Amino acid sequence: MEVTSNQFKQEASKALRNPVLQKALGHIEEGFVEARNQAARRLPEFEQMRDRARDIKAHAIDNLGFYLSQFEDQVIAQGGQVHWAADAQEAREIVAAICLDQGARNIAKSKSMVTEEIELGPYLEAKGLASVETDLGEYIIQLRDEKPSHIIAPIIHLSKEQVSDTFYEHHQKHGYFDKLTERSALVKQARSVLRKSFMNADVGITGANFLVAETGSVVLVTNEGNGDLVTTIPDTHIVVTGIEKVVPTMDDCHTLLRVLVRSATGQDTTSYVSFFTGAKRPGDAAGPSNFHVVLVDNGRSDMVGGVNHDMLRCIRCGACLNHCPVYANIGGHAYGSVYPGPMGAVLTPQLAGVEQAIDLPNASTFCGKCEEVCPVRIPLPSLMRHWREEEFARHLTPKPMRFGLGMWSWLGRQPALYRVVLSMVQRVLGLFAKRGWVKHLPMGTSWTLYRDMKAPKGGSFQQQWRRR
Amino acid sequence: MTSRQSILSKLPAKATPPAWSSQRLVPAFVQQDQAQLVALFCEKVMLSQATIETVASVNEVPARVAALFPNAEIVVSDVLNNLPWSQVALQRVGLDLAKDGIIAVTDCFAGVAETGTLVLLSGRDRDSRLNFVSQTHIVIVEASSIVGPYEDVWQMLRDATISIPRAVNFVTGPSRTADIEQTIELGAHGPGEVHVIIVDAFEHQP
Repeated sequence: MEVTSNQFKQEASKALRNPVLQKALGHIEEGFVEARNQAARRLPEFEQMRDRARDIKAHAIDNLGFYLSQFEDQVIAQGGQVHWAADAQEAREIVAAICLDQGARNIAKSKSMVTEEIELGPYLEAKGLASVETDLGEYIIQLRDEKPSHIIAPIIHLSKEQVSDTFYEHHQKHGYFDKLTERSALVKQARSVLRKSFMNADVGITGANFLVAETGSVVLVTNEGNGDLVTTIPDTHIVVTGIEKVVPTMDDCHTLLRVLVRSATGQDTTSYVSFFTGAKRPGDAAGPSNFHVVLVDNGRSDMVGGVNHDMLRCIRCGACLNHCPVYANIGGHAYGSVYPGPMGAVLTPQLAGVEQAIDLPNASTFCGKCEEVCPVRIPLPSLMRHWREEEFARHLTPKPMRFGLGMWSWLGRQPALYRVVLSMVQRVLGLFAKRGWVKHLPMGTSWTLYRDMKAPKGGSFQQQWRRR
Repeated sequence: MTSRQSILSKLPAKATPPAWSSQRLVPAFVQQDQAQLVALFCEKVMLSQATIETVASVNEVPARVAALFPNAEIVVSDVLNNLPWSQVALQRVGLDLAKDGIIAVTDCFAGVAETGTLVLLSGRDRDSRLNFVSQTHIVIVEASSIVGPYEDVWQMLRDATISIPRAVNFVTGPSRTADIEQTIELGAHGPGEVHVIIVDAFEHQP
């Protein structure tokens, strides 16, 4: 997985100074955080469902080989084909080979993070197999030649005006010359432009939210309906998905769907939840004659039984991004990975190598909100802490920070000296305080540039404890 | 070694069926009698921004559609061919994918009261494309097919000994997107309007 996560600090600073981005990120609170809270409150069994969801995924991962084999047998029995890809390159080659075999000229895609992870689009394009992204957000990303900045809301970083500019630039060739200002008009124009892509597509590519082992079904969760159009009109449907998506039964799948949608968008359900099982049956009025599932490993099997084992439970809802104070202030692009936020801080070092993503596990205050809202209860702060330890052990931590951490740990082991130093620090900080707040520190501008610090008051914890 | 073998060799529990009981965990509010489920379904359909009405017999459906869209061109699912379409002021046309603004009428296998969800199956006389290319989707739901939780739909399929069709679409309200500034707009790619007609008596054709 190609990442640019090592520019995290510079990119995060840029993001904080970008007023358009800052305004766009302001929609997260109402659009996602509040919506999720309300959806959780509407379902009294929500917490119980989360426990169950965690247990289902844990069980499926513990028996991944069994359930994948069962899923494979069922897909084949229903006239489909299953392909296994050890890494991104193999996955790309499999998809390209199917498209070439079908003589594909028009490929329509629906949103899939795994296809982003394996960089499928650019690979197909290089092979002369251009694909059109049909999810509204992904389509806009494709026109702008950008990457998604959120795993479920790809253009969360853009304003309506930027979308309008993009359509004005790219839609003139489709006969649209007016600059649009209304959201509804933008959506309508995209609908009309993309309708041709659906109609003419000979191959449809989708991801999967779940794979159901007992039936061999591929489950797709969408609101726009594009996922269903690309799986119903073209004669070939290719599903590209990670091996960790399999669950034992339909009943299990519905428990997960209940927590997924509420955690993701705050809806009780999405407009469309579709179960695709095999190829078109003889005599069916519509549907693809060719049904392929590409099961992508790309580092996932290495996580089984390891420290990041629990991360395989992730159902890609995006709740940890929405609730993260770091993500909410810098957006997704700064992370330099298709997987941003807390889940990305765990997954990116795993998939791309820890030396490629040193800053990401450190970009957390460990406030714990991500773990609190994770529908499958992944202990994200603990997993990020593991990466921090790994970095320190492998001497990847920058020298000044390493020195500072070393000093801190040495000082912590000298209680008497620690108390003296602490009271000195308190007094020095007090000198810089104005009306109870420290707004500027000579050696700490990177901290005080974006936030004020409360001036220390009333002595240290230990002093206050002794006074009790 | 193939990639299949190398991936499976790294995963636990290759061959033995794991002990697993898929206990059902469904919300308490959907555990009600049939009359209450129908009422709950109607309430949830309206919450999903679809519209709803009830007719006594499936034979009234063409007249209801004609009342909603007088003299309109409509695409009717083949499974509904035997309804009295010729007796009303409507023009039945074939599906033209290039055209937007299609009004489509289909049946559905079940209604799910939990979220006002329509369950549509693909099949010989059921063109799944109608569910997604139309601008207005009119769906006929038999009152007795309304269940509480989603899980019951699969039990209904098993009870009817229908093998799983290629596509089972759970549809809840119109197509929507909140991609632009997290504000919901209806009619992204699929229908912008969904109208549900509940039928008290329906000759169901699996």
